[in-house]
Amino acid sequence: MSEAPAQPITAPRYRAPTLWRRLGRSWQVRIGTAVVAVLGLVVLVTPAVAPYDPAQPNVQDRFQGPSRAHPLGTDDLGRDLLSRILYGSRISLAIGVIAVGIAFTGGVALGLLAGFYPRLDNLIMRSMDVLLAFPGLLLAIAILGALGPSLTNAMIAVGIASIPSFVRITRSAVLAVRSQEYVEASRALGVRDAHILVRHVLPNISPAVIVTTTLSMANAILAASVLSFLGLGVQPPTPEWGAMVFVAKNYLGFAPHIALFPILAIFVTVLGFNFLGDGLRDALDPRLSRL
Amino acid sequence: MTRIVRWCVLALAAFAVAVPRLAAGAPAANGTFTFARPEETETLDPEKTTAVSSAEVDYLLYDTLLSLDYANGVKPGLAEKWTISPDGKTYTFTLRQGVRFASGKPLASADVKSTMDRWRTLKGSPTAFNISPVESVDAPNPATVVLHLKEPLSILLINLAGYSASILNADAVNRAGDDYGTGAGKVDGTGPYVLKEWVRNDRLVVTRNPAYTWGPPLYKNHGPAPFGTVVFHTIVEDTPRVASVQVGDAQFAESIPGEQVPALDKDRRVHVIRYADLNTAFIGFKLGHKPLDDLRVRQAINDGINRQEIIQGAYYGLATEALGPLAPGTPGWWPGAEKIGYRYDPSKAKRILDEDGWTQPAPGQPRQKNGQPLSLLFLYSPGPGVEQLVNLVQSELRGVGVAVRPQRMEWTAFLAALRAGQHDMFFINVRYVTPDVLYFYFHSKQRPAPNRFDWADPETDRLLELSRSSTNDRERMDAYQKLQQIIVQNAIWVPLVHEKRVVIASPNLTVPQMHANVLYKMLDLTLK
Repeated sequence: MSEAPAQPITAPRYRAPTLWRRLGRSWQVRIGTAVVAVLGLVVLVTPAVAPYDPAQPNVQDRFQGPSRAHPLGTDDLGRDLLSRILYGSRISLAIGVIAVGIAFTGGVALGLLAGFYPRLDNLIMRSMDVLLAFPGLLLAIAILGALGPSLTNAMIAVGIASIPSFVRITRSAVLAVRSQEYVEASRALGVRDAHILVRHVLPNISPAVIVTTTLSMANAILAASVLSFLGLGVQPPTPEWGAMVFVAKNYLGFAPHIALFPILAIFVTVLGFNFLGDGLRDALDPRLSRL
Repeated sequence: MTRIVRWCVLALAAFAVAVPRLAAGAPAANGTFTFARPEETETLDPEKTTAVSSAEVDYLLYDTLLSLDYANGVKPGLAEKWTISPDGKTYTFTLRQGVRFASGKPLASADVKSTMDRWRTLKGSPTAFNISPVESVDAPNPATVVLHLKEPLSILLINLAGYSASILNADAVNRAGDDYGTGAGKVDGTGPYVLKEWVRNDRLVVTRNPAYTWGPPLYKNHGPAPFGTVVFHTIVEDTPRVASVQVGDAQFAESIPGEQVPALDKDRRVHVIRYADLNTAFIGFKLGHKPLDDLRVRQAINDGINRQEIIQGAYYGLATEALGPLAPGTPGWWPGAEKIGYRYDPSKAKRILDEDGWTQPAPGQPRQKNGQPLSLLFLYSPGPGVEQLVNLVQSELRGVGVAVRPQRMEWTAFLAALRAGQHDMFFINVRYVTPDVLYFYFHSKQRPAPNRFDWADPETDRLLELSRSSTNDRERMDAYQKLQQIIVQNAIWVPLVHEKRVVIASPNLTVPQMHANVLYKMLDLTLK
């Protein structure tokens, strides 16, 4: 006779068709997805389609407006702006993905622990309160001040500064799920905590976490641009969008396009992620969908 | 009711009396000269600062024993004549008669003695090294001052013409103590202007000293000053500072960024003035860091940098090529730098590196030798054109297989990093009046900073000491020339450019000539 250990009761999940239909109905999700998809495509094809080397100065051709040779014009050293913005998308997305990756990993882990184990709750949440006492950007600047300015450190700084919001969202979602019958039942059956957390709690808090992740991407890209604008992020000649605006501000009077195009790139990217995040929240939030 | 009417009548009467008085009290528009600059005055105690923004005001409030003409020649100032003993160790100055401080007190040798004694012994004075060989100061009679030196100092006379050597009223210094120079009432000099008001980070106002008649000989007008009031306005950002002259709020602005010059040349509301002072923009190597201990690597980097591209790209044409450490026109300048100095020759740079065993694994990648990549950390602090310069240097050196890792740092953090020796190479633009700047950078005693290159060479030290202490001009100039040869041949620097300065003035302001100290005492300026 083989033993038949009790099957843990899996939680009810959102049924896919409804979710997809709801997602498809939202114009924000449609625009957001389109922007993010285009951005992803750009990141992949940039080396093949960028017309020039983004770091190659050509002083004779500086400050040119948009033309056939340079569709977005050239910057203060005659470098092609289109190529720089295309290559910049890789930097900006990498910053977004890695910074949010750090925040996601650290934040969700701490949030699960804080929500699931009341003993750890106070310790973790009070530490998060300390971090939250500083405005996010100021905290990132302080971390960069300690680590020294560089692209990697900017990613780490933005990541650490975004951890508290992940912890809070995760914890509150865990608190709501923790007392549900299916969790209680698993516990009563003697299922290990780690298993309950990963198999039952995590899937049920994922909507909240997914929304936070998407919105954090927008914030991380913006924060990294601001850090580079302040001269704390990437170092020359890396074509990061915020760093491009930093240099271009000196020429606003007679060559505003050098600042305008990277600003537009930041604007569209951040807007895309925000639309996607907002749309996902509307679609994934059962209370909103009933309205 | 009647009381109210009476008050109203009184108030009206007071107003009627006050308005014309207020109007009369305000300086006439053509009597006010406004000077817009990017930096705030640090202090008006001339012995405690190296800031140009303080020096500019000091030259108006104070006078010095000697003055500098437009060619940096030493001319009389508060001292009408002076003699130097044959051994170069005793300087005797005869003071001009009839000079008074703004407070009314006549200038006496006791004030000069107290100023010099305070300067050379003041704790933390960043400029005291300028008169470090001075051992004692005598004031045998009210019109005579004698300086006694341990050893001769060839550049003493020029140093006594600088703002740091401004003569202060001994009584005012004693009265104000450590607060001397911090505001109106705590400053007393013999200059053409008197401090009236100082609102930090906004404006500093000085008014004409009507008794002033002892201006230096380079001016046609020896006093009183042409303007009733001079206002120094602090405007940090470039664009609003330029705009202040365009709209007529200021008559003069300095630190004009090169990229704005072409547009300003066409702008009839401003007059662009370009002038040369003595400066060198350079890259310094840390010789203690491998592979920069290898002369051939340093030479290859010198050959791999395109100064013409930097002049166009970073300085908008407002600079000339630097082939040696000193600018042409500096006393003791070495013409040989024009012959053996490094000029852009990428194929020579590649050949040197090839011969030296640095091989390139693949095009676009840094060269390697014994598994070590040729990759250098390049520290810099932002400034007009510096961002472009760094990008150009990086791209030019990439062309010969040298990887450069630039790192931008805020000025004080930058200086601290250099002192700690974190750099492989760094960028600085240095301004100077005398070739003594070589002593500042290259004497082995000046390590780790400002000798941030680890350069320690007994012959260099001997020549530097000789250049300071020799009383024979020929011998000193020879020493300076040999020093420049050593510096170029050993490729301790990459001399890049000598920058031209750009200032703008309103078209109704006449500036006869620019001075090494910008507008100096402003005595010959006229405003239509």
